[in-house]
Amino acid sequence: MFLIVGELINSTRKSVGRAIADRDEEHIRGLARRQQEAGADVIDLNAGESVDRELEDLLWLIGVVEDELGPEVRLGIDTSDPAVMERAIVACSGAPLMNSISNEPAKRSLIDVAAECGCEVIGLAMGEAGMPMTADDRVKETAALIAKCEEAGIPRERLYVDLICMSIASSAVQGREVLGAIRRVVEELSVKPLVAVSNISFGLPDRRLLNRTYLPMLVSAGLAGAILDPTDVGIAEAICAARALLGRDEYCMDYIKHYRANAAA
Amino acid sequence: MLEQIRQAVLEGDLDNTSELVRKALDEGVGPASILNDAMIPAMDVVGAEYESGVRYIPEMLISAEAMKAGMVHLRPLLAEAGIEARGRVVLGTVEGDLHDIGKNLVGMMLEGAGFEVIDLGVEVTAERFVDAARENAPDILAMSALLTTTMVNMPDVVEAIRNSELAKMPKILIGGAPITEEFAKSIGADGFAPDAPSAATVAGALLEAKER
Repeated sequence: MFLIVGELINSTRKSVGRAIADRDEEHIRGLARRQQEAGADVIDLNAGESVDRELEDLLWLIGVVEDELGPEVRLGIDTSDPAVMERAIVACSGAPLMNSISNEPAKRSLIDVAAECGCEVIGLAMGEAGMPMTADDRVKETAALIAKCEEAGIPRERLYVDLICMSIASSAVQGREVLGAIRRVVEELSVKPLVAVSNISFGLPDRRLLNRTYLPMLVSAGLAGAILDPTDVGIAEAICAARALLGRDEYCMDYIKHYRANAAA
Repeated sequence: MLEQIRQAVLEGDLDNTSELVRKALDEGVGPASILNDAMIPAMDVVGAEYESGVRYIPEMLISAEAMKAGMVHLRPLLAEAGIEARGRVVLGTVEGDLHDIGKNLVGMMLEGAGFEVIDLGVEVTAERFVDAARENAPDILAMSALLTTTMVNMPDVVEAIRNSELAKMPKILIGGAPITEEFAKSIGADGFAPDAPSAATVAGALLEAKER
C-alpha cells in the first residue's frame, strides 16, 4: 500500500482560510470529496492560520469532512500544538494520522501525545540541527527520531518519516539527496519514508511537470507515502503506474482498478 | 564597459562579471560607479523580472552570485575609499523556525541592492535580535517566519526592540509565507515584504523615510 495524503484542506491556502473563517461547508465538502475520488487515503486537515481559534476550527473541519465522507474516513490532524492535537485526535471517528511530530526540542511533547493515542504518525526528519540538507543528514535525523519514538513507546511500524523535500530552485541537489535518503532509510532503518512532493518544484515554472516526473523516481527509491494534491492531473496515475511497474502491485490489481474507476467516471 | 558588466550580472555570468569588473578597475573606472551604475541597476531588473514572473528563483540566485563575484574586487576598494554601504540590515528567522531559504534570498537581494547584511541565521530569539541591534547599530532589522506557529514570535521581537534602550532605533521589516500587510501593521512593524526582491525595495523606502 502507498499512502496518499491529500493536502488541499490547509488554512494557509487563502481560499481555504476564508472558507474556514466563513464556515463555508460546501467548499470544504467539495475539497474532501474531490480528493477522496482522486485517490487520497488520508484527508489532511490544517487550521493553523488562526492561532487563537485553531482547535475550534479543526473540530469543525473534522465534523464537516466526516459528515461528507462517512465516519470511517481517515483524517490527518495537522497541527504543532500538543493540546490541540490531543483533543482533535480524540474527536476523530476513524483512525487518524498525526501530522506531525519531530525531534526538535520545542516539539518533544507531541511525541508523548502520539505514544498515548496509538495512531499512525508522521515524523519529520528534523532535530536540533535544523533543516537537513544532505541524504546523510536525513538518515541521521531519522535514526534519532526512531530512537526517540521507540523510547516513548511508538514502534517504527506506526511511523512515516517525512524526509523533508526542498526545492531544487534554491539548491539543485535536493531532488537527488532525498532519493538517496529514501533508499537508505528503507534499507538501514526499515522505516516508511514519506515526502511532501510539491515542495520540490517551488519557484520554478510548470511545477506539475516536475512533480509528476519526480514521483516515479521517489516510488522507485522506496517511498511509502506522499503528501500531495491528488486532484492534480496525472499525479495519482503516475503513482499507480510506477507501483505496478516496480512489482509492488500484485497482479497489477490496483492499476487495473484505478483504470476501471477512471474509465467509469 | 558598465553596460557589459550590467549585462553579465543580468545573465548570471560569474566569470565574465569578475573579469569585466577587474578590467574596468584597471581602466580607471571608479568602484562606486561600477557598483551604482552597473551592478545595482542590474539587480533592480532581476528583482523586477522575478516579481513579474518572467524570471525564476535559480535565475535570481545566479545573478546574485555574479554580483558577489564582482564585489570581491570592489569591496576592499570601496572600504579604502571610505564609501559606505547604502544601509546596514540585521536579518534572521525568528525563534522556533528553521526555514532559511527565503531568508537567504532576502539577504542576497538586499546585498544586491547595496545593503550591508548581517545574517543571524535561523531560530533567532528576541534577545539575540536586541543584542545584534545593540552591537551593529543597523538601520533595519529584518525578520522572517515561515510558519503560522512561529510568526506569533514576531510581536515579542518588536516589543523587545522598542523597549530596549538602543542608541539608534532600527526600522523593522518582516516577511514570510504566512505574513500579511495587516499582520505587520497589527504588531507595529514598519514594513512588510511579500518576497525577496520587494524586501530590497521596501528596505530602500524605509531608509528614505528614516532620513526625512
